[in-house]
Amino acid sequence: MRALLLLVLLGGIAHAELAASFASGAEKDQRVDRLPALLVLPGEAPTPFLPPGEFTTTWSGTLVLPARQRLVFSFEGEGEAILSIGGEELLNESGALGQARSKSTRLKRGEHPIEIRYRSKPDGSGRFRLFWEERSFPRQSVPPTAFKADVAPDPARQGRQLFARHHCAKCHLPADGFGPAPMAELLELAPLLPATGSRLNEDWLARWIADPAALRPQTRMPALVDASTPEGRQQAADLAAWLMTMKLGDTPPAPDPALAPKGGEHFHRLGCAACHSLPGGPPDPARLSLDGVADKFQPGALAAFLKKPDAWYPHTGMPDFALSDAEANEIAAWLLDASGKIERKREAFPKGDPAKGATHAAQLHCGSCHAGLPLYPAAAPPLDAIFAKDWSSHGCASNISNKNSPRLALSADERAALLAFSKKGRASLTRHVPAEWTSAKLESQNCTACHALDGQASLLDRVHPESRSLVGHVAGEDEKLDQTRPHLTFIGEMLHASAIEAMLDGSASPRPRPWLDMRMPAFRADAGPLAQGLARLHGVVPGKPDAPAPHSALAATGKSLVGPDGFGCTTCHGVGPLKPTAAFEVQGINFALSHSRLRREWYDRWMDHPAAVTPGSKMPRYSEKGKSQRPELDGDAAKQFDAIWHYLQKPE
Amino acid sequence: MHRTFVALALSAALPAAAAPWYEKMQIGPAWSGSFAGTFDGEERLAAVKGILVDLGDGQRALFDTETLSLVTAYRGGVHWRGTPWTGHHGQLVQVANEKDALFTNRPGPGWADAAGSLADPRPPVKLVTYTAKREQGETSAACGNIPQAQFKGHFRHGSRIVFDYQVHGTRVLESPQAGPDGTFVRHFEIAPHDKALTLLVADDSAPFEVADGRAKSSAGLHVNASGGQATFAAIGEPATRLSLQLAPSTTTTHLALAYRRGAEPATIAPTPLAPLTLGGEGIWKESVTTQGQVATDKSGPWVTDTVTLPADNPWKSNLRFGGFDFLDEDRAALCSWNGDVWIVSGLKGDWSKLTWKRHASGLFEALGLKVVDGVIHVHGRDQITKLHDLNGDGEADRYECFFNGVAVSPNFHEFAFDLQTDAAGDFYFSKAAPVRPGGRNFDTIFPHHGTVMKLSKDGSKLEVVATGLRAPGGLGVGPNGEITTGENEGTNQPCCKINYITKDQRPAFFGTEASRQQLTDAPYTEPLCYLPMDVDNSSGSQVWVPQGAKFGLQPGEMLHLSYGQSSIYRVLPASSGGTLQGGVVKLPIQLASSAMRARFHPDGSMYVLGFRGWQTNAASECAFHRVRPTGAPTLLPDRLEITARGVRLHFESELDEELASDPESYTAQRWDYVRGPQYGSGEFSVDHPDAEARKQALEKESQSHRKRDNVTITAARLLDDGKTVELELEGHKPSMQLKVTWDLEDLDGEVLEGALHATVRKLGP
Repeated sequence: MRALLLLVLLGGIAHAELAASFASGAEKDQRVDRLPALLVLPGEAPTPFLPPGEFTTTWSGTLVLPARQRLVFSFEGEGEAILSIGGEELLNESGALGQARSKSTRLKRGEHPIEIRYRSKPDGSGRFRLFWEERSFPRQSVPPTAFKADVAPDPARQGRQLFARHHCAKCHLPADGFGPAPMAELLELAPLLPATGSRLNEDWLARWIADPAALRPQTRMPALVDASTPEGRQQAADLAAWLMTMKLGDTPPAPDPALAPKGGEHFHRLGCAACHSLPGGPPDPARLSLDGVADKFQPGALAAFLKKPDAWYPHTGMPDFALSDAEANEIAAWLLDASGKIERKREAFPKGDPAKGATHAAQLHCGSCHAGLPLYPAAAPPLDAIFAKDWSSHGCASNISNKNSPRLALSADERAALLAFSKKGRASLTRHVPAEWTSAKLESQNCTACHALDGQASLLDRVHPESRSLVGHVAGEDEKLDQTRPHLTFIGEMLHASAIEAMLDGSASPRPRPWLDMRMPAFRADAGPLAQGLARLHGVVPGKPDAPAPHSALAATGKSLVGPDGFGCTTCHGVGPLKPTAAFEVQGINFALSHSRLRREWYDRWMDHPAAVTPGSKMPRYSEKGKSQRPELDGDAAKQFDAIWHYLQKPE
Repeated sequence: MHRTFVALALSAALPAAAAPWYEKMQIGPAWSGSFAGTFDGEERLAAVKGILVDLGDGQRALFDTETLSLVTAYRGGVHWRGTPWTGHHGQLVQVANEKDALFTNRPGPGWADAAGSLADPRPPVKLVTYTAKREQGETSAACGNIPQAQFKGHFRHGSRIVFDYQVHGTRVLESPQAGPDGTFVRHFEIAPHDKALTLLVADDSAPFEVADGRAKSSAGLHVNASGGQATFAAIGEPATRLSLQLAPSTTTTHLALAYRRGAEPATIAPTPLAPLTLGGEGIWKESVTTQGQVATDKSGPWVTDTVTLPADNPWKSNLRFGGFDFLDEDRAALCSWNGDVWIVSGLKGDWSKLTWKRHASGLFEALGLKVVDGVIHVHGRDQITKLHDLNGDGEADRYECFFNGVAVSPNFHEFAFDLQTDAAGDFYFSKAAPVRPGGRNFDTIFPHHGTVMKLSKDGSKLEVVATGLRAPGGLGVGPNGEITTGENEGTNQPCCKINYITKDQRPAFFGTEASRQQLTDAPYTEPLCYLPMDVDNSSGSQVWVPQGAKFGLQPGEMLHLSYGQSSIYRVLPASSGGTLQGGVVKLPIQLASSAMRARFHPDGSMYVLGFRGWQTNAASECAFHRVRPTGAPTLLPDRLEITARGVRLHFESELDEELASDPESYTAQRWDYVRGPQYGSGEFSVDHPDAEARKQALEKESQSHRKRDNVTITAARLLDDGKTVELELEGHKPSMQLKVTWDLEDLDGEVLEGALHATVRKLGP
């Protein structure tokens, strides 16, 4: 089932792709990239499977053109790069890239083999981006959706992720650590348990410990006791009893059940169905079931979890929606009510002994993964030892039963991926590669459950009607403004990394899209690195806006252009405290936020053709082949957009 | 400039320095619209077809043209809660009568029925109300003309307004006037009548007492009457309603009713009103001159000249014109969204001096204008008004109500779009459906919401010729009586489209279920073609090239205007065996604003008018253009055929054979939409139908679903005429949308680039 989940997620992300072949000295590596772009800083490894140092990258695949076009290509970055299309070399540049342009090349509609060979600087750093321009659009980065490649993902990459996410290295310890730039996922923690007795139910804990995968097929928690035996069941009960002794403070009273309908409304409007199937609904391998919520949580503790999901688990996949007390209580009431109604057989466990539970915990090395518990020297073989073995026949990843090994919930594909990883050796665990870490996070944090990417609609677009009945009683629910969420296709070149970080850590204020019922939740533990990584995926140097320095005359022209005497942008866009003058079905983001959010190159792309950036956008198009319908600045759309850019730096 | 009246001033909302343009605008002495007001301490609907009269000196009176009731007289301005032309959606402009009202009448007739009853015969209708935050409330009110009332319009004499109406067939002229010491006066001139007539004088919060031709409420409202044989009566239990009965009379009756609160009003001598119906002193004596911009570039097939608008006018009127017609070769009349009519002259000259004259004001969201026999007809939400300049001073003195049989609801979105005539002189106009302020679903549906209506030339007969419209934007009437409209995406409307019926196919249902009206069993009438968002996201009118016009297109061709994309499209019909289908190609015409209305001038040029009031890429608030042909080749296809294997496109120029025969010179895509209760539609594969996605599109907005089929061009041939290309499309089949692009050259090396957006229903032989 987990394999299916990964396939679903990969299917959503790998729509646009190129094969990226890396070489460093005699070592080689290949991965799948959405677009030909990279940013590697001095001392960084270009991929997890290559050491730092001078490297080459060759992106190959197909460039897909919807019509015959006369294209001019160019680069951005540093190093050496050669672009070939259809076997013909079109551009060759070295040093500071971006000075040269290819000749205008007429390419037919359809697919063209494309190859980009890139060499880093001698010190192993490098940055690369590919641009194009045509008479119908200005210079802009070639979008991911222009590429297609028939390339299979390397299972070793998935194996490396599985190794980290299952916390394997918490038991199989390295003799000499992971070096100065360890794979970041290795540093993530399993949930902290000191407040378990104040939050969770003993029965559920026993069932969970006995067989985690039975309650959550996607879990990374291994089964550590053999629940098929009376001894194992007793161990699970003892551990649960021991965990229940860990209390911190009093548990608040249960939420008023009468609040449940309101909580259901929040559930729908916040789009919770993106990540969760509805309690009692059919299981969906792409989403977490909520059937066990009432079993798991003490009634009064659920609201606190919803308000701050990362309080006891910083790397949880459940983000922080900045719920008010009332919202958290109402959602908790609904979840408890909806999941509490589900009838199913709940296996009884013997009464547990907390003291024995503590002993079991020590023997099972629970503290290796769950920080804060007593830590005992690991009994598992050290890291180097396991990499010397054949994982198909030894250890946790094998399918061979071993009563001394934890039983991981792994599919056959996942075992194969771990095996492939094992054959590459442990070195990749010492290499943090921000771009690849970010790609993996886009999957693991379910970003495409809510956001479209590379022309693929979000999962929520498909599943949201499942929770529609929860607002069926609300008059006027269908009369809201457009509820579509921003696409992520260009996100790293659209927003300054500082703005992405503010969105991800929950500090962005005011909200850019206050009309949305949904709200971007905080992924606090990953906010900074994810913001940096999203920029790197586009070959963009993560940054923040410069101090506003508008050219006064241009800004004045820009102000006129956005006002009622110009394009009338202020009809739909507010400016600081001034509301849009006549927004009807949709409105735009307040101009006071533009400078702190938007990168210039994306702004130019957006202004030239909004629907090419966000299909179906209601933002009108004001440029046709670079010509504006307004006379200012020679009717040159680019010059007019530049004037508006100056105005947006400090809009009044 | 004559400025004896003052602008309708903001009563409370914002400091003067921050006042928006509409608060500075001088509307004039009479302002037609739907108004809310305060009655018995509660806000409610005051009049859906009201005329708010500025009496000067801060006094105002609101007259209801449906009931002929003088709804309220008060001292104060208005609360600018909202009209669409101020950018507000949902609330109504509210008369500020909450503090200093002389009287406010309860809803209902202003004159009694034949039995002498002032009871309201109209059933109340549930209506939605909105707060500024678009929170919904509910009220109920009666709407529509009362049977005993025939409103005939009003006269303007200087700043005096005289209402003209009939009660039980008796002509009545009524003119409100501010009197001395806070006195308010209603002057009447009533034709001879053989039966008694009863008039509602006032409602008050406390009972009236009547004595000696005078009346007084215990709350302090004093009323007296002079002239005629009139008798006050206090009605009700308690007797808080005051009426006045006029005895039958064989002569014209002149009557004055004087109102004052807290003291007895002076007795006012009635004055004859007929002299005030002959035309009076103008109030906008200044004219504004502008210089037109005549283009000199002849590189394209058409050039766009600009009739420079009188944007800087003394009355601060923001002129977003939404309808026009020519009075003669030199003059055009234009009506604005905010209710003005202006006449521009000088069109026949070199445009170095264009003279603009404000001709009328205060009309109700006028978005259609037609000149018939030299008389300007304006389509407002309340009525079609004929404007008469009785004394030849360039300003309308008589606002004749030509037709007011269309009921109005308080919803902001029931726009009254366009006004056209057919060859027989009958009128056509449309009315949008009452979309809720968020853009989805509808408020209470009235009988003419979402319809196209035909009105006989003499105004006596109304026929609904099409229903099921949401926001057509405009319409067209073809040379053979064809009826066309545009449409906007929304509930039941997957995207913009061109609705088209012949005159014998009416009535037709165009898709919006909420405004289906009486066509309960009618099937959905498919459009001539659907149009994706980047072609049209909000439609305007359609116009047909007249016979004899040398415009660079063929006489009889139909053009479609896109308000949202500020573009004009040539329509290429491609019907096959009685099955309607066709497509559009864009004309290379640049406009400074949107494309809402177009008419051909006798000189063969096409004038195009558009403004910016809702979503559009219009580059300015309003522009009025003349589009002239230059004689350069148009480089466009002029004929389309849907064949068994693809399409056949005929161009006006001979084409370079190598490019025309190369399939690489073309692209094609096809896709479908899902028409259902959700707002708009995504784009759905035709070649690989996704039944689940289509089903879900009926339950949830599907805008993010975009699956166009890329269609392989399997063959491209240039036919013997050198101008026709025949394309074979892989898997050719019906689709709601077929897009074909070309990148060709003519024999002189001129590049022909363009796109066809068509709907394919039936493949040809």
